[in-house]
Amino acid sequence: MTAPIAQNADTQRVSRLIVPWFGLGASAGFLLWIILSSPGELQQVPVGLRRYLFFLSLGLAASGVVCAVLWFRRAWHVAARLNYLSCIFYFGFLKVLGWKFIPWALVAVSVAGFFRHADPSIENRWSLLLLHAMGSLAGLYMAFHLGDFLRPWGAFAQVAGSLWLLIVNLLPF
Amino acid sequence: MRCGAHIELDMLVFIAVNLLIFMSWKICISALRGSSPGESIVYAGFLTATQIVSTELLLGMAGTLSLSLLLALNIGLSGGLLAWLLLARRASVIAHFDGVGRVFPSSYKSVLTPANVTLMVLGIFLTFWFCTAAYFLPPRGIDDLVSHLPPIYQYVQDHRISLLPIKLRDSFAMPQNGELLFLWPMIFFHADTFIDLVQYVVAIFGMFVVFALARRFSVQRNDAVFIGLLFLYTPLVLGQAGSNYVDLTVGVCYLALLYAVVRFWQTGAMFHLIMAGLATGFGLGIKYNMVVAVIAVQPLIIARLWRNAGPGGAIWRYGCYFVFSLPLCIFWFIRNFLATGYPLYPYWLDLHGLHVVSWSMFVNFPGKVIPAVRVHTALEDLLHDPVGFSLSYMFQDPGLGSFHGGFGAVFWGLGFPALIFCIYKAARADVRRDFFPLLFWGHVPLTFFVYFLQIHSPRLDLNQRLILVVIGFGLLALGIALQKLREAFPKAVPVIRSFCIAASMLAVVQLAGYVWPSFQLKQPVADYINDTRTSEYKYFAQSPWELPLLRAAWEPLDFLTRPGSGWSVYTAAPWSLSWTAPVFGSRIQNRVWNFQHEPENDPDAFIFHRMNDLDLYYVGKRITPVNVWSDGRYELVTQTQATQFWVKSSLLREPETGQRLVTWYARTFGPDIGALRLVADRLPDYDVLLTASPWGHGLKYLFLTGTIKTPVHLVPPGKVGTEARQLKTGKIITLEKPLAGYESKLLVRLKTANETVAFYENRVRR
Repeated sequence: MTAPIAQNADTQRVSRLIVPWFGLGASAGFLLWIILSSPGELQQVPVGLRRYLFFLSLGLAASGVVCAVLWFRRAWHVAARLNYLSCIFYFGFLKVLGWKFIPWALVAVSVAGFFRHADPSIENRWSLLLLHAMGSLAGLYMAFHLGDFLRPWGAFAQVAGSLWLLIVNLLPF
Repeated sequence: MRCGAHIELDMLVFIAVNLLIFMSWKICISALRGSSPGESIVYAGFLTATQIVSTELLLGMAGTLSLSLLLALNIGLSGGLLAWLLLARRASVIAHFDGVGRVFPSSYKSVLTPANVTLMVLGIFLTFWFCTAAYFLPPRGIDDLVSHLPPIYQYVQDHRISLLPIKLRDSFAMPQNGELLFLWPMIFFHADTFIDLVQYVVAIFGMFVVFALARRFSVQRNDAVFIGLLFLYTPLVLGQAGSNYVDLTVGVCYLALLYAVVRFWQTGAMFHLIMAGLATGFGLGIKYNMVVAVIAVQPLIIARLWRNAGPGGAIWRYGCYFVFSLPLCIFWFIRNFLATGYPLYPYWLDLHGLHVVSWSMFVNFPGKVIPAVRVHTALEDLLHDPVGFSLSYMFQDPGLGSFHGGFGAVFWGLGFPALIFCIYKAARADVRRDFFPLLFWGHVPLTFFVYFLQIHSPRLDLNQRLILVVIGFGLLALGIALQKLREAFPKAVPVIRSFCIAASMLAVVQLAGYVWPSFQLKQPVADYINDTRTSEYKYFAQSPWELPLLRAAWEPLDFLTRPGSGWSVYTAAPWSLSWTAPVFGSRIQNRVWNFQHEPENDPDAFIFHRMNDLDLYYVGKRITPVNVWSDGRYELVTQTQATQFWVKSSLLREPETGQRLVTWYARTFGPDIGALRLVADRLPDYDVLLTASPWGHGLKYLFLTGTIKTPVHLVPPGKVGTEARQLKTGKIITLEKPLAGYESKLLVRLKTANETVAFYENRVRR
């Protein structure tokens, strides 16, 4: 069963909406920034930041829609988890920029938040942490490598086309 | 060339023989031990490989390694085993099949979840792709051509296991159980056609091992199938599966060894300890890095023996384990000790670690001082900046997009946190004096530790394959995590599965973009359909390194020699480019003259590679390109800036070879020939046309087909004048510039899109 993460979900509804909104938006912006920027641009802080602010606004717009849906569905426990997820994205983002202490502070805040909202069950708490770590690392990995995976679509289309051509030519009819 | 029907028949026989060997072990294990389907498949697959390699070793040592004897021995062994089972243990066999008939339908349905079916369908596509690539493309991993394949080609030709010159490559002295697996389809088809599929079969076997391991950790059957399937779709496994590197084989062997050890821990049965012994020997006979695995499993084995058998029994049983580990690895160590004085040549292991004792470096570069550039090991960099190093290591995923590395999104995203979870749980269990989890999961930090200790940071991109086994651990941990999450957050499981499927699909898409090695099929399939194929070596053009340049000699050599019994070929190249596998030809039809002891005859052909003015490295007798040119019996068939291919003129006069030469020129230099036809009728009937230009290939074609009457001589660069003087002939045509010392005039200019070629007539001054 899904463990209730946020008790008394009707209270503090605004904070539980806004935090994930910014968190998710910033994360989405970070993803877009990573995907659409070349490696050099990531390292050049002024250029990279300007580009990131552009993508941040796009991300906030997208996450606004998501959080609005969550708000209307009263899915506070989902929204509450999103901010933990987004902290990991921020961690990676700030590490890319070369910051040393802030990312760790962010992780500490994230972990503290996680425990504050945690289910009384120790087992579930560890499982939830595992789930968050999995989601965050998988998302971050894909953010870094989506280009690697998507770039060869043209080459893949050639392979698939060649295999199809071969089948058509080998068929006796 | 053999016709398609022959190959199909050979293929059927090959599959039948493999099935016979596998099924004999499968039935034996299932019927006699009542093992589960997963366990019987793992052990039967492993024993199949063991039987094949053992018989090859036996015949190779005796100097009688031939297809007929190898088949007879294997069919005899497996047929005998089956016959014994049917005659002596009929009741057990029948009970086994009854059980399979009852259990299989229900268990089969339970694993056919949408996620598993999706991955299986993807697997069918992938199998078709790999089979097609293996059929059309040559072995193309650089180490395949340098060190893994030349020895086994030589074994097949000599019918014995020998040692190729280690002063050329140290790696010829590496243990070769993995290569002997490649030898199995190669000796059967006497071609390299299907050797690229061997590691793909190993990858599929690896799926079963991961599945079986997961079942032993109480992972649900459908989750175990799921993570087993994910093993195949790891970027590194996909890249390795199409190569003739042995890292995937050694990684899967490590997992099989772990399975046997886990089962021994769980049951204490001697059978599993014997299987562990065989896996130990098999792995040590593949690659030396298996030493880490063997050391790492010892605490599990010894602790279990000590706990149940007492000192006397433990020593006896451990002795059995040790004895069973010897047959599959001891030969390589003794051979190396006798040949070099070092059992683990080119390494030497002592209490201070692993040292390199490279004869190849010592002989070829005496006195060369390697600049003492201080390069950090990965461990030093990890300790210096743990967070930065770990993050860049995880998210760069060294080697991604090649057979060198790339653990993929499923491992780093899901498997890695699950591994941390399992290691944490194992450490907690250790406090309660339950040592098994720590001894098992401790393999992962140990593997990373030894790897980081040995590897320099700049080489991480090239060596992730050495620790491929951690992928299996990661997937196993993921299976356990799925089990946990299914209890705590059941809705998370479909999300995780969906992510895994998406990542697997993207990994398959990414495979199309690999160049180390290439799996692209566009050009080979187009050539096949248009009937313009020459040799598989043509497709080195889509490989990295210098292969696209060097193929200019290997391709015609293979195409010209494939129908017959092959030629004896002398080859020389700069040391770093002395890659000998393609010289043997795609049907292993040619002999490398340099590898023969006191060859009776002169070479039939010569291949010289040149690059960046590096000195040629000679193996055996030194014969230079100038020696060949001045010999007069050899004709230059093709030359580029990087390569020259000379063939004995008398061989080229043979009708079939001559016809194939014409075909090769036509298929390779089609556009040049089309352009040259425009000026062919304006070239007079002279004594000879001398040229070092690439246009010479098209002109030779025109002469061989009778379009022009003037004989065409390709000569090495800068040798046109000397050749003209040696020929002592009156009327000579040259390209690009007239001959010095002759009366010359311009005959015709050929204008193409890229250049203008001038033809000159040259007459001896009176």
